[in-house]
Amino acid sequence: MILSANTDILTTIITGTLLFGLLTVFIIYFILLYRKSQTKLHYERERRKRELLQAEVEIKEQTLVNVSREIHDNLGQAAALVKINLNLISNDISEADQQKINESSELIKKLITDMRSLSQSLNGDNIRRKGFIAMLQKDVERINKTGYVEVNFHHPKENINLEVDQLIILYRMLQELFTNTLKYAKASKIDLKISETGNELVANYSDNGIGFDYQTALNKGSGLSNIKDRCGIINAKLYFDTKIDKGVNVKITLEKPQIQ
Amino acid sequence: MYIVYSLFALKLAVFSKRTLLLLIVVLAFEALAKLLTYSGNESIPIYHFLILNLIVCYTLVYMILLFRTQKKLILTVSILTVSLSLMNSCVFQTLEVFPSNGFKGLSLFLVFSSLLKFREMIEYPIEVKLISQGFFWFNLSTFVFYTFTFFILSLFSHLNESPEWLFDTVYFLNIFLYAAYFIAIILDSKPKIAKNDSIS
Repeated sequence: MILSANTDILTTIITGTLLFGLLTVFIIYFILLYRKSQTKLHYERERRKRELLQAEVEIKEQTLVNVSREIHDNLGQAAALVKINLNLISNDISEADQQKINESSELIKKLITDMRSLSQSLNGDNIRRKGFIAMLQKDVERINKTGYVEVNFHHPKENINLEVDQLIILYRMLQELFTNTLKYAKASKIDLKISETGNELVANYSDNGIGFDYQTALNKGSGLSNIKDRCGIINAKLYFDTKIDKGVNVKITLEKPQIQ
Repeated sequence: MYIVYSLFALKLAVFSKRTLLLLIVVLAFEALAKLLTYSGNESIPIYHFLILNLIVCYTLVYMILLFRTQKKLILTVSILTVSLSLMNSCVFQTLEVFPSNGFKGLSLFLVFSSLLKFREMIEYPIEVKLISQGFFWFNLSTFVFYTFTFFILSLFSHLNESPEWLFDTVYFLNIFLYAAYFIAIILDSKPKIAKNDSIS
């Protein structure tokens, strides 16, 4: 009887321990599997989000190209015709009228130049043709011409080795920063420095304007969220440093593709 | 009736309401069994009815938990378990005998259901921490408790006498099960991070 009771206890302990061990292994295995599928889901969602943003940017870019062509082909042509017509007006007119015609002709000339410059700035394809730095240089010149703000632009002499799509997005982000400064910052000075360190491209942007509260601006859904989203598309790192009355400092870091 | 009415008047998700209903059913049957024992009557028939009620309550909960697929499968297995349990109570282990076969059937049904839920969780994960998911606690405790229940009941028939520590194990497993159910209800009542995380 005692032998039988001992065997019962031994059997219970062995099977109980085995069962407990099996259950523990099962639970650990389940947790690991679940975490793996959670990670997969996370990456899938991130990928979809990025694709959606990419599509949105491409649509916007295409719209800008169309607007750019419209400005260049139609409005530009119309302005050129007005200028030719003004030049063809007979000289048998009073001196006062002649002066008005000359002034109008000058204004039309400026209008054509501005339209051409705007058209080039809107067309992302120009980055492919003329280069990222050259396009930024033109924008800087255009802003400096207005006389409202002084832009200091520092950049490398060599061409930047990045994919055109990435450069277009970076260019649009910098344009957004320029627009924000011109619209809200009441700044007198902008510093833009493009530099290459190791395998990174760094864009440092700062102004001496009135600054803003970063979180409030982000929640309002201004151009700031656009910049943040675009950084996500090209895997760039964005550092924003701003406070009220302290100006704005922005650093965008972009990893360059590795040359095999 | 008042308790059932109050339960449904509570602002809880369907999963929590059904789990609470399950807890109330268990509590009511256990209290009745104790009452009968203290009054010198036989409490074993109560367990025959408890099994049937538990199958219905757990089916109701798993019909909510398995919200994507497998609902029909659970319903079919549930009906099969009820039929086998009824047959056992009428033919093999009548009302005077403790329905260990019925509990074994219930355990197998619940281990199967919880495994289905585990599989579904891996197939359709959500971006919420596992320990913050109410139904994970419910499913895990059900799986562990009923696996051990099946093991213990199978062992009963082979042992000459039941050792004291076996009752202690069952006691602690019960504490673990009901504590996990309360955690599940509390977690399910909390707002979730993502909208599609709700299981109600």
